[in-house]
Amino acid sequence: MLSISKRYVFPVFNQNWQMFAPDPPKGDRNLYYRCRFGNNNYSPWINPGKSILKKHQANRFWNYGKLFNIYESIHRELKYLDSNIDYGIKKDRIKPDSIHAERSKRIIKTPQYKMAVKYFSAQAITSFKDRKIKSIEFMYVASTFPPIKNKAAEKEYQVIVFPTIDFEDSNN
Amino acid sequence: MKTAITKYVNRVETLFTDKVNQPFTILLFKKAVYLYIILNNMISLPIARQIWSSEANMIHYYPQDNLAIKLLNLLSRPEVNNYYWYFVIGQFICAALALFGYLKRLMGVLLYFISVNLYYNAGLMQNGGTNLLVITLFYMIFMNEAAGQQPNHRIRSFDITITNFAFFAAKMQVCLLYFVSAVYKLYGYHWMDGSALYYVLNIDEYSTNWIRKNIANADWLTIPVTYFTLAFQIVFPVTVWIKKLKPLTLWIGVAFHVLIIFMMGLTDFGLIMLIMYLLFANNVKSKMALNALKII
Repeated sequence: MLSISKRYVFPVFNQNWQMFAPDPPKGDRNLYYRCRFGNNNYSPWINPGKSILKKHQANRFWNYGKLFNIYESIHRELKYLDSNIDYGIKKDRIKPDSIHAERSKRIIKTPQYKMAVKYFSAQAITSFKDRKIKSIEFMYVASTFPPIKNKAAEKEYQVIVFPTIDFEDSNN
Repeated sequence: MKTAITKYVNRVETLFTDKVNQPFTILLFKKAVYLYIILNNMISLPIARQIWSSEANMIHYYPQDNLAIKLLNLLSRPEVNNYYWYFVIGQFICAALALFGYLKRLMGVLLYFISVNLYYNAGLMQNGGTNLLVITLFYMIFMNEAAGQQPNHRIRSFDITITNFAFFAAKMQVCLLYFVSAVYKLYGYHWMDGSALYYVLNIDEYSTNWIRKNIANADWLTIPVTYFTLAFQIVFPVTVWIKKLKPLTLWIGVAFHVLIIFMMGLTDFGLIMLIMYLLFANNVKSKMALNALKII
């Protein structure tokens, strides 16, 4: 019975109604990218979700919310990816001096990273139409608000840098 | 004792099999769902490629290996994915036909099949509202407000029974949603210490500059509202069935979901929940509403 319900009922009638439970997120989660151009100059760090969110805040009934959901799903997936990779690296007892290279190697193979490559490439092409883009760097930044009883305290930040997208390679 | 039980069972049986209990409520609810799907479909058209095409930023998970689930994930298959426009336009046509009462049963089945495919294909960007919508669309396949007009006695009895059960199941679905969410929250730290709303309203995604400046840090407001939200979700599954408390419960819920739409920007979820509340509307008032809208 359990296996039948897992196969047929669970995917369609999933009742996982968490809705900010057991605890709501405790801070902002954002993605930033920057491009390296042909002359080796860098663009500023850009948060592609910021302008969509502003539009969504101004008009709750148009499709900006859906566009923001796409952005949100990417940073959520990247966060999961990072946690899974970290877990795998710890489990496989990778030597400390090869962790960075191993992490990059594993991340690049994942569908989440490929999804991010597609997303940031499209963003970069739209934002810098007339520039020759060599590579794109991107990162996940999460902040945690101070507790309600100590609001004056500083926010805490978590930054996860992902392997750089070699733009010419990823386009070929 | 045995007679009392028999009487009770007979009463319940009659309640479900005698007649369609709230035909106008069912009709109003179904039309509201179809209208929502049409409007949602229309605002999605300009960004359809970003959501459903092979160029979309989506990951498709295929953990299931059975035919039913494969069929509901048809659009996620690479060989079908390029035909996403058929699904998008198909959803619009089916919802429009169902709204105006053409081929209702067939449209109900098609709409479920198409909507679930669109939903699963863009699963990563969906929220609880869309999940609730597709579950409700399944129940709606079995709801026939005109079941009492079937000429064949056996078909009529069967149709009435499944209509009433599907209608009841949809109402229970709303209660289940609040109940499950409330139970999860009871395990959380920030719902119990009253700070959940402080965190939520400080997040860019669920707030605005004005809300952050004027509301998010006002503890005198956020702490009571956190506890009130939790209490509402706990009591809703009970009070919505008590005649005297039902209107108050529903109006509080309406206010709650309108705030969710405007303050937090969870428009899909808020609108779907407001539509779900129509399930609890009175049959006479639903008829009046339909007459007023002249779409009966």
